[in-house]
Amino acid sequence: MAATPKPGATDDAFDEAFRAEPLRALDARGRADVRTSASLRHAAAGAVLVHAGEPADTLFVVVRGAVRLEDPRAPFAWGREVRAGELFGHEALVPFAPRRLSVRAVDPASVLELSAAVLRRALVRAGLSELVVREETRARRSEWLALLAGTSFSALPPAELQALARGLVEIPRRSGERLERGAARASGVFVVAGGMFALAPGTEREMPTYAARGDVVALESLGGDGEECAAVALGSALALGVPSEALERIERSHPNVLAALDRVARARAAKQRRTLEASPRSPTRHAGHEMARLGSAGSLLAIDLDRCTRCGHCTVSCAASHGVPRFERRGEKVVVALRSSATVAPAPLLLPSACQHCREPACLEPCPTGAIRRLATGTVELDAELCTGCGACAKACPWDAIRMAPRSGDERNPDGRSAMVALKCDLCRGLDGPECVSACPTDAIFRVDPARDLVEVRAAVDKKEHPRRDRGSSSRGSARAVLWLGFVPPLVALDRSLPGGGGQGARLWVGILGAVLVVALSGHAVLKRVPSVRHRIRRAVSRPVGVSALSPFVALHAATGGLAAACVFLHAGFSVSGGVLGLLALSFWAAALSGAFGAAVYRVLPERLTRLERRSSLPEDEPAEREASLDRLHAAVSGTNPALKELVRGVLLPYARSWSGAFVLAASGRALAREEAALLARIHLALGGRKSDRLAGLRELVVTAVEMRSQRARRVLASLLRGWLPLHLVLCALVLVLLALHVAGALR
Amino acid sequence: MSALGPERRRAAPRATESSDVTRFRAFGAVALVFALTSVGWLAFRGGAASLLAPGPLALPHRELACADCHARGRSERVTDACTGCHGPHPSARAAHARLARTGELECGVCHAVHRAESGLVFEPDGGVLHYGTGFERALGRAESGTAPGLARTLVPLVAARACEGCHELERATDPASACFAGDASSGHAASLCFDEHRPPGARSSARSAARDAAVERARTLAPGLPSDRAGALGANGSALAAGALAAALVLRLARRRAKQSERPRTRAIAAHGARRLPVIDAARCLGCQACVDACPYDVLEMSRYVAVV
Repeated sequence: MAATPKPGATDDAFDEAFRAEPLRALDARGRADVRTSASLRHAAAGAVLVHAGEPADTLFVVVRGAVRLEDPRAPFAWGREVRAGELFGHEALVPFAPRRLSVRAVDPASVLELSAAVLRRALVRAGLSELVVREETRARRSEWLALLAGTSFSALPPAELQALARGLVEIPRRSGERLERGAARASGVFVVAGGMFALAPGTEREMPTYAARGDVVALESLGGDGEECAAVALGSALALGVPSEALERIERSHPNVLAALDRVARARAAKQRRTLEASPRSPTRHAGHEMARLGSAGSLLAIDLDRCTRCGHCTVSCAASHGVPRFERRGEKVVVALRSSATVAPAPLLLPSACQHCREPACLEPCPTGAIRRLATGTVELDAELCTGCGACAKACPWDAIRMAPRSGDERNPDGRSAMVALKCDLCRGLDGPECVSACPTDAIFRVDPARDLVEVRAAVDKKEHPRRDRGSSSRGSARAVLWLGFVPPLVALDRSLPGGGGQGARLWVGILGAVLVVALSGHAVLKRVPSVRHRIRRAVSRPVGVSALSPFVALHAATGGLAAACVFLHAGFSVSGGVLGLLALSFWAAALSGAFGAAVYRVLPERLTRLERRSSLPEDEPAEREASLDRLHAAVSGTNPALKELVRGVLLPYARSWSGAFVLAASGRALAREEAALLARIHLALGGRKSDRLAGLRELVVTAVEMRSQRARRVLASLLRGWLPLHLVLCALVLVLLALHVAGALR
Repeated sequence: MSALGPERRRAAPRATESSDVTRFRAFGAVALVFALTSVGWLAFRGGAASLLAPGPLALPHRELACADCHARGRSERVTDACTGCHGPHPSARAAHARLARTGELECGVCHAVHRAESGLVFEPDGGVLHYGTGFERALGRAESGTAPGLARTLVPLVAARACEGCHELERATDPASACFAGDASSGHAASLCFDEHRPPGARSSARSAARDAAVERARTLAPGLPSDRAGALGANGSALAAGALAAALVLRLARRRAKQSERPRTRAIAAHGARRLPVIDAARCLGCQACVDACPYDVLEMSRYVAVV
């Protein structure tokens, strides 16, 4: 691999860095690796290089000047000063730890930023694993002490607090694993150091609450009333177990500390319940996998399925700006309570497989060259220059957000770069905001910060109380579209009052206006398909980054279309003749009709389609899904009693396979749950209570049958949503060509 | 994905292109082919010159060039070009004749050449041809009935639409409403007003007798004819169909080509004769674990960030 240092990182800087304490021992290979992944940062005197709370994945070596490490919680303390040749930023060696100290340049300073993962590798490979362990232990101790100081344990005397911090046992947990008492001397009291745990209370009726970094979890209530709860990791998480002896010691000497811990835990749970209950129409509570995903994301790409017209333009625009699309528009449907600027409303979201810039990225550590790094903003970046195409990050990503693809032609070169490269969403850095968001015609796709925008995640990670907000109305006025019909009678009256044919007087002028409007309408295609035009228009109308640039123009396109149709009507009526004029009229009205149809289905159908979905899939997934449902039905019925088999053969399979039934389901706008209940009721009514003892497992069969019918209904709705646009496009192309001929003929 | 949530995979997922991305690929070309083929079909049917005209010329005027009627730079009106060939034969109706003299009623108002010209041609062998702007259709025996062969005669039909510019056909007091005997919907001025240009009771000759017979037959046939709208729609429909066919072909071709280029371009890995354990150059190993994951026999493992056998 070519060891080309980052621009700005000079040999001098590295010479200075490799004089620093542990780096001095690196071998040539290790030095080369460190050089490749390092970057040099400069700061003027007094400037802040690092803010406390930023993600910590890197260590720093001062190569020029000096910096001061300041604790923002102790503003009057004079921080430690670090001079040239010293290493700092050891939080990076501790999992889940953010920067605890701010770094301010004392003099004009340059610091070299080194990836902790790469440095650790280089040191271990150079045979310095003891050194690494020693450094890591030291860093952990001070981090855990700081963590304890943020809990009610801080009431302990300093010496005892330090002893407690030293004695803590690290218990890493993968998603879905439980915290257990007894293992590794654990007493059943834990401090959460990272990730999130769901706390399920012993009584089943109560909703789970969540514990995040800095929270204390007790499996058996510390208040002494014997209440128990189970703690399950949501995503990978780290808990610090308080050893039994330490807990007993505290119980003897400082019982008030335990009481305070109990009080805080109860207050936290109560606050979370309050927040969740305040959220409107209580959407599904998430546990396990879903909550793990929502909770771990820093910036989540989400598609509001009630608005999404399934046009796929988000993926198309991603492919247009990156060559290979960096997400796929398929995945589970998740109903969440979504906060917008003014309201909280339940929203069915599709979470596509785009990078969600995790708060604790799993892809960071496995990268052998430090090609993946996190910016201070939390954005996870992948440097294609450093990528070796090994796929370690793609294998580690739990959400399939990193994909391997061949390097594009101009990036590939013979000197040592790999044939493959890892690709992931980079939030379109360097471009004009996320392209997928900017190109959405209906404002359906956006990035959310779950800790801010999703009520459930916010309740889990946010310690502050928020005033309740009222639910906003989510109904969109589809009746407004009908008002357009009100323009028809005056238009007809105007047409009657105008004298002459299309070539004279007022009719000629509306014809010219119509032609201009048609040309303007076709500009929509350019706006939609050419990103640079979109960017320019966005800037011209000063539309902010992070919202759709296209959606206002979709409304404008529809309104202009209506106006153009009125002009054409006044110019030529509905005349039908052969030749260019006749075909022009025919194709214009066909294009106008297809456009009006498109506007109608875009408005009405997405919500109906969403009601029939459990996951959002693409047309090419259909055969496999059909196959899977049928398999499920057969598997569920095999080995059961003949009554059930007869029911499947005689009722459920015909029900599932009927196309007319699928059309009715698509037209009815019914949700899956209601359809299931209706089918179940029909079966029970038909049986009239007979054989009810032999119908165990009927429910699952009904669910599968309804799923199979809904697959067909979804296909109907999806083809209505997707089918009109190709027709509209080809007709518009024809209109443009014929219009050019018409204008040329009229000018002759 | 297990119940415990996602685990580390052994194979890195590959980037794929969903139908979202591929759906509109080559669609610009498809739209263009559709438009050009449709227009080309029009040119093929009506002649290239008809593309710049409002519509093609129907049978009687098909052989004319643009300059024959639309003389450039001359003050001549199109009506003058009509009378140049057909001779002056003003309307037999006093009101129409007066308007024609002042130039307010031109030939083209009723005989909408390029737009809605239509008529019937009676062949000596008894065949009847219905022509219109952009279409021609021989009437079947059942449709035309059997009648003695006449000399070849052409009877233009004037659409009721042409009258609507001045007359209100639904109003009973309007003089034109009498022509349609209360039925303007058939589209052809099919009843009383036939042969506008021949005054009733004019002196008849052998030639005019044949013409009268043809007009009489046209009068009986016209109500049963499909309107020229239907004919025009058919002509336009055939153009659209031609375009759609070409577009479908291009789309299919593009899809097939895309599929071919999609085929995995796997490099054949040269098989080495000897079966030996792999050798790892520890100095060059990145520690990426790719070989560990790839090995089907789990021979390799990681130790201190370096793969070992």
